[in-house]
Amino acid sequence: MSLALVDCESFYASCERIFRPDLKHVPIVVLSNNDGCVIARSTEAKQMGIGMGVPWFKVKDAFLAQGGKVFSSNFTFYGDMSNRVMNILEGFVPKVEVYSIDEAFLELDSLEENYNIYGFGCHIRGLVKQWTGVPVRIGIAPTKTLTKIALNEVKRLNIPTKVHQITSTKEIREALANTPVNDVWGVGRRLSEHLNRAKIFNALQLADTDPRHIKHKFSVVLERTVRELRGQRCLDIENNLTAKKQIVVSRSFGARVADLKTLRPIVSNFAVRAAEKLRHEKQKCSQVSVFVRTSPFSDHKPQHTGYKTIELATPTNDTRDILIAAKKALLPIFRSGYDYAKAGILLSRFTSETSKQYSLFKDPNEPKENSKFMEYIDQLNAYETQVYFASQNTKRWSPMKQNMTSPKYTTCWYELPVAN
Amino acid sequence: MDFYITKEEIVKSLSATLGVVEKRQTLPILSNVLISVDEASVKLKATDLESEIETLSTITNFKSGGQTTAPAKKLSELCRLLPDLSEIHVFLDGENLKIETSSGKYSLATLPSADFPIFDIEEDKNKTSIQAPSLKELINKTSFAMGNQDWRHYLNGLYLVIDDTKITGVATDAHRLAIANQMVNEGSEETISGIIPRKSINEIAKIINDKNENISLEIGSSSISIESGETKFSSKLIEGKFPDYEQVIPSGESSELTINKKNLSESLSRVSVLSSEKYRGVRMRITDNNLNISANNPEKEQAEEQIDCAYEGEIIDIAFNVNYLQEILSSIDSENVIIHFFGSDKSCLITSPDSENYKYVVMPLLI
Repeated sequence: MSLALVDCESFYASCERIFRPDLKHVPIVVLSNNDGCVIARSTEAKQMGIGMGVPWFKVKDAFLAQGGKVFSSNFTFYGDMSNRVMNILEGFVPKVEVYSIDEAFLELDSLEENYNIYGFGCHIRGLVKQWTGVPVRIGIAPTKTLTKIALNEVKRLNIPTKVHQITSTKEIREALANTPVNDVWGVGRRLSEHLNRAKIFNALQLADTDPRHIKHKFSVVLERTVRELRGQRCLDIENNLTAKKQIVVSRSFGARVADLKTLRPIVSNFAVRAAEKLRHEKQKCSQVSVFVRTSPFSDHKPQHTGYKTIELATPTNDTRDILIAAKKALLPIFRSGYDYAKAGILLSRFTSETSKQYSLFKDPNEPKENSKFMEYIDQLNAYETQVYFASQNTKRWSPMKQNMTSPKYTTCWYELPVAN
Repeated sequence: MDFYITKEEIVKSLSATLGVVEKRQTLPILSNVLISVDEASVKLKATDLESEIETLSTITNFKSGGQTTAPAKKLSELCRLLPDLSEIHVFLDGENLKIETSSGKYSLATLPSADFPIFDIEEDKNKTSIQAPSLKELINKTSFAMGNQDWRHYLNGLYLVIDDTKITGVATDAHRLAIANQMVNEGSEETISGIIPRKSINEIAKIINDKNENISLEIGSSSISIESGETKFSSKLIEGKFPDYEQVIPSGESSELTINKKNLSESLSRVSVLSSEKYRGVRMRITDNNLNISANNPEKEQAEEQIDCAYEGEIIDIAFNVNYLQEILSSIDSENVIIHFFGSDKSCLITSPDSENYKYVVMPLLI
């Protein structure tokens, strides 16, 4: 009974190296939207003491002076590389749960009969590296929670193969004893403070606590964690068909936006993107919400936060309906005289694309619901936006300040890497 | 204020007011009940600013009159827990309301009666009356179909129309619609109508007893009042235009299914166990005198049953939210029900072979 957790090492930084072999061994950091904070670091950057989430301006000079290379985030590229990695995993393992952009759980139960699981892990790691250029680490253990522990052990023990398996009770207990309780999957800072007060400081102490006591004192969620640490599988590999409950597209702006004429096309761009995601999920939404807010860090300026939800009588995933609703929501919440720093759109109350409860009354604003039309638009815009809606900003203008973005090497014809 | 009253008398009145008292009130005084005492009776009044209830109870001994307000829930709970047939001595002592029985003393905080909100009731209302069982049936047959927190606020209530001596109740949440007709005692010259809020309909249903007594009904342009025995209830009406419900009642040529209500309901209950939790969809396929009911869910579990029925019409394959069907079946009293189908993506009409006083329209589900 084995599960594996595959984790892409310093994923964003590793992606930036794929088409830039000259950056091998060069410290790399990737910045958040608007180039505000450090959100990813290569091993070399970590060794330089660059912390996660530190404001870029604080470390910029020292980092660049030591030869570091900085990138604005390029999520189109990272997303595409992530898909490539996940596709490889899905080609070898029947059940894969894509947990995040750089992590996936694999169910290896059915492979145990014919394969040496540790060898299989090493083989997969080699293939992912060879086929995509992305280095991964793999933790193998009987439960999801223990795979996280196994993964931490790769780092702690500095295992050269970057694959670690913990199976026997001795191996598991040793790994648990070396894991602080706040490093256990699902135990946050506040919960670990409570556990510390109960004299539980490491994962082994947590695993040795009576699960019924944990359920009584804390929660059934933590009881599940305890049982998982003891090797009882409580959390199965989930298929990735679990429907989302909401979709949010929001951005902080690089420059403040004070007029509706500028803000509306930005919100329209968010609405278009959110609608694309909704169709990709094969869902329809009945609620469209828009929010705008000024920067809480601009103390001296007037502050305003606006939020408005529009209910749709009939669920839709047609961009045109969502654009109409977004406009309806934005107009009453926008106030002139404020410097808005962030806006976003939230789609919620989802229903399946293929199911529909018919209504007795016709809504005068009946959704347009032309799925073929939207399908064509999605195909045309699959890799590069070619068709815009009238209320969008058609110029290649981004609300974000991103001055150091790498090319979209794998998703844009015009930005393909050139071999000289 | 100083009077004596029996436990049973005050508990009955307090219970009636509790439904109106706001649980999460905006003004503290809205969780209080206004107590007004005169020589013969004590009047209790509660409001949530949208509706108001007033009850009258007989007192056993009067010492002095007056008004105050006290927390409704605590007062009701306390009186309910007193020994049966207790005589309760109620009096004001400064800012506290004292409750005394032969075995105990209790003191409750009060708020000034002058702060109790006055509920505006329009004077010029159309008056009629209706037998209690008729009004009760009208509400029972329709209220389940009212909208609940729907953004179309006019759906969150029961639409009442009085035309001459006919009173019609209509409720819909846009997916199903329920209509019931009854008679009022005195005809009205002009057509009167109004949408009564969901919460008020639930309160009215509680007030009406099963005795064959007259209920006075007054409907104005913005409020409704009903009076049953010693209880008077008033509510604001929902502003807005109720949808043209007559237009959505299907008519014309239909396929007609006649089926035993109990068999259908039990079969739906069993099959729906394996329906999708989100849509609660059940599929009905009807061929020659055979109804096939099936359901499945995302976990790929399936259920299927066959029931004998009488069917005239073309083969139909249609799906419904099972909850909508079950609620309608529960409100029909007859042994059999008739379902008229007009197409698999069109509404169907459900009626009883025994009564033309009520009918139901349900929209199908695409699954």
